[in-house]
Amino acid sequence: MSLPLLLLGGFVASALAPRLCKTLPRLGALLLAIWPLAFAAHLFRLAPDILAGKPFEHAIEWAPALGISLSFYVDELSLLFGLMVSLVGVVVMVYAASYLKGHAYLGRFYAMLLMFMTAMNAVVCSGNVISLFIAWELTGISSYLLIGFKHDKEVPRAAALQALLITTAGGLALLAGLVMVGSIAGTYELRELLANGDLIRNHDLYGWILVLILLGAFTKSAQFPFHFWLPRAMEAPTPISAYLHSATMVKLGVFLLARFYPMLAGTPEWTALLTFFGGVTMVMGALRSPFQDDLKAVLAYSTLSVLGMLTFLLGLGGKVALKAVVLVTIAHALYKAPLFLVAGTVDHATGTRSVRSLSGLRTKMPWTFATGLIAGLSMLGAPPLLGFVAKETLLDASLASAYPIPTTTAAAITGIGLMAAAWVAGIKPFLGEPSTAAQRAHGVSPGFWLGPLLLASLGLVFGLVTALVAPWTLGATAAIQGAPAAFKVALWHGFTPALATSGIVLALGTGLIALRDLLKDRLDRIEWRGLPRPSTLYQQGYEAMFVVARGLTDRTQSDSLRDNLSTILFAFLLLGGYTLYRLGGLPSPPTVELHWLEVGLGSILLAASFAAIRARSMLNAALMLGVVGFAMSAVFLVYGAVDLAITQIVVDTLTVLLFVLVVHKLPRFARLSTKKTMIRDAILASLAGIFMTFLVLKAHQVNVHEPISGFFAEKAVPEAFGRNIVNVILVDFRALDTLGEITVLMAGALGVYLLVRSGEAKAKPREVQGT
Amino acid sequence: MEWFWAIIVGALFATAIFQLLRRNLAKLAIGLILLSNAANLLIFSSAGLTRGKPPMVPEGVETLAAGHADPLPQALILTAIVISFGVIAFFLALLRLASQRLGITDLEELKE
Repeated sequence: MSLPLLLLGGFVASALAPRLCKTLPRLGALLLAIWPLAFAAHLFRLAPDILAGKPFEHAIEWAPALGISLSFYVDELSLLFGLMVSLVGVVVMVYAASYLKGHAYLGRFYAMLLMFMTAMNAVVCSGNVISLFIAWELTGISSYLLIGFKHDKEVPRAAALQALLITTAGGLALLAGLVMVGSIAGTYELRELLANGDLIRNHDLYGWILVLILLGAFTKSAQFPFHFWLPRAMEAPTPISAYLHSATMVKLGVFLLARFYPMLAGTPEWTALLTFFGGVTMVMGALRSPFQDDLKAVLAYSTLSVLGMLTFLLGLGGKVALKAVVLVTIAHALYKAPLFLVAGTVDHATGTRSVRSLSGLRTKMPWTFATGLIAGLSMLGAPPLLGFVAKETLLDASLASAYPIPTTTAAAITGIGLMAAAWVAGIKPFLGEPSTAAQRAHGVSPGFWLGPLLLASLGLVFGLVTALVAPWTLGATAAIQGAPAAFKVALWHGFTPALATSGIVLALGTGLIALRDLLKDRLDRIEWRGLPRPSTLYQQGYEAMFVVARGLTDRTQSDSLRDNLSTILFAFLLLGGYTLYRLGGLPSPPTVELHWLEVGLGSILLAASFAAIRARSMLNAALMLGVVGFAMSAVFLVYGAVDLAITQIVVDTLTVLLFVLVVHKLPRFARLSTKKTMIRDAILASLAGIFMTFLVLKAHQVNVHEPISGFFAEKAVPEAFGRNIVNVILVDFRALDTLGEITVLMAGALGVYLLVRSGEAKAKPREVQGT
Repeated sequence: MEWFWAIIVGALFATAIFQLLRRNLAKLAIGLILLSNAANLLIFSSAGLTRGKPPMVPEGVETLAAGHADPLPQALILTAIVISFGVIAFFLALLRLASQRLGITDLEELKE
């Protein structure tokens, strides 16, 4: 089975989920978990080739005229993310079967989850940036639905909306950046873009492109100052938080940066922006994380910190930093998802996630404790777990950077904060005397701990046997930098500066753990005021948007036809006038001399139309309009439009008759407008007239396309057997148009008839009722 | 010649638009008629004007020689004339209803 079909299968499974969960409430979830398992198996089958340096490629034409195709490009980086998404997905799906057992909307939950999972896999396997973007937005929409899963409560709804607004606003910026990249390089195909990185980096628009793409990545990966949506998104059910907000969706921004690394990285702008924003996010997250009281908040802030760390490392660039990116990504997925699930289990068993009221849970749920312990130790960065290897590489990369002191300090502070957070979230709830909440806790079934324990143990296995992750790390690093990589992945690197720094971090981290409760008391007493918070700015901007929109609508649209018309005219003149001005070039001078007949007809036309608008009664106006119409038909006659002349005479006669018959009873025109509005309208109308004059003159110069009249002139006799070409066009070449026209007239005639009838009925209601 | 008709078109549009901006419903109808005439003349004149040579193929010849009036704008305008007649007829019927039933001839009063 091929990759595109498998992806399609994900959407099919998503559509089937609600029905399946209804008929098989227990087994349904497990059956659905086959999809991510199959996807992972497929990736494993592709893996040998890909790791040997032959990416999987496949293209389906979609919109070839626009250069958009549904193409797939799976290299080592895609492989890594695809496996992470699928395998963590399996664990989350199995876990959710226990966590949400008997939930009324279980089917809906799985449908959204599968849709999200498929979209995620589509992003990482995408080979065309436009199809990548579409899948990217799909993850945003499905995550909106997942965060707002408890839709009957207001807080989750608001959190979901905030996440959606922020990530899609970034998505729009991303699209603009991608379109710019595509039009510079002349292709949207990922492989060709990555091969032409110099073209983009040396382009004048590089700065804009970088900022736009970074906006997309930073919003999705919750980088400062867009970070605040992530902790709020913890309103989602815990399996969702474990999945979306640790291992998958928030990593997409990082994935994008890694994906475009060969195209965008290596410039001073790249390094400055990524290390600054990544560094701020990393330190801020790490410092706030251990002092939260909600278990999920602790994990959310630590996730922020890790996302910042990944961005920071991508900003530093170079072989060691990229190796750290890969290792941190793997380690993080293996410890953060289990920790979230452990928090969910604790919440399920005790009914609380408050750190203060949780302790001594180890006897009630030993296996969950084991999971928390292993995952927590990996997050702590304790040997021999994979987290330790990742942290060592991080310190290595910051020591090797151009500014080792600030970068290493930031990395060390982060390490210390994350240590305390790991302690608080993964280990502390299980130690000590059982609290009241722990005493009331119920035991948990294997469904709660089997998957998380498996994931967490992988972190231990990979740390002990680094040979298992080495080829993947090498491959993914090579894929990110776009060139082969060579290094060792090992638990023990000998006595290096990184090890020494690590030792300091370990010591200080232990100190922070010991002092955490004391410090938290102190910190809680401080009132944080005066600092401008990004979330407040967001809220103000959000409200301002409505104020502006309402103001704009009130100013430009009203229930008065005249005001609306004036607005439209004004905008039309402004935009159209600007376009005419841009086209430039004075209209051609008169080429053909005027005949006295033409001057006469034109003058009559003008005089009659002015008389029509100055008329004080309907009858006078109707007469003058008649003159206008007859003058028009004379003009048509002069310039060889016989049919038009005839039609115009007939229609004009009918119009005048109708006018007289229908509205002869109307009162004389009252002067309703003030002098001021009259003058304003006259100016607007004159400007429109002048614009139209120039438009006509310009039309003689502009020739967008060869006229098709030649075709009609050539084919009228031999193919349509008519000598009057205008008639032939109407009844033969464009016969369907004429049919449409007749239909419109029929409808109009019916409307007129009904309107006139209903007017009579209302005027003499009794008579009608009597008959 | 082009300049002359371009100015006439502009003037027709100006009168039509001025009339459309009035409050009186009947004047709106006048504006609509003027507007449709202005639009027709706009298409007619911007396609290029040829004096006295209608686009008809003479007997005995298979195709139309160059130098005749362009048949395409004529066909378009023919359609436009008829459709705008339909629109105006409908509007006049509405106008009659408004004055008969509600006694209203002022657009601003129609809002309530």
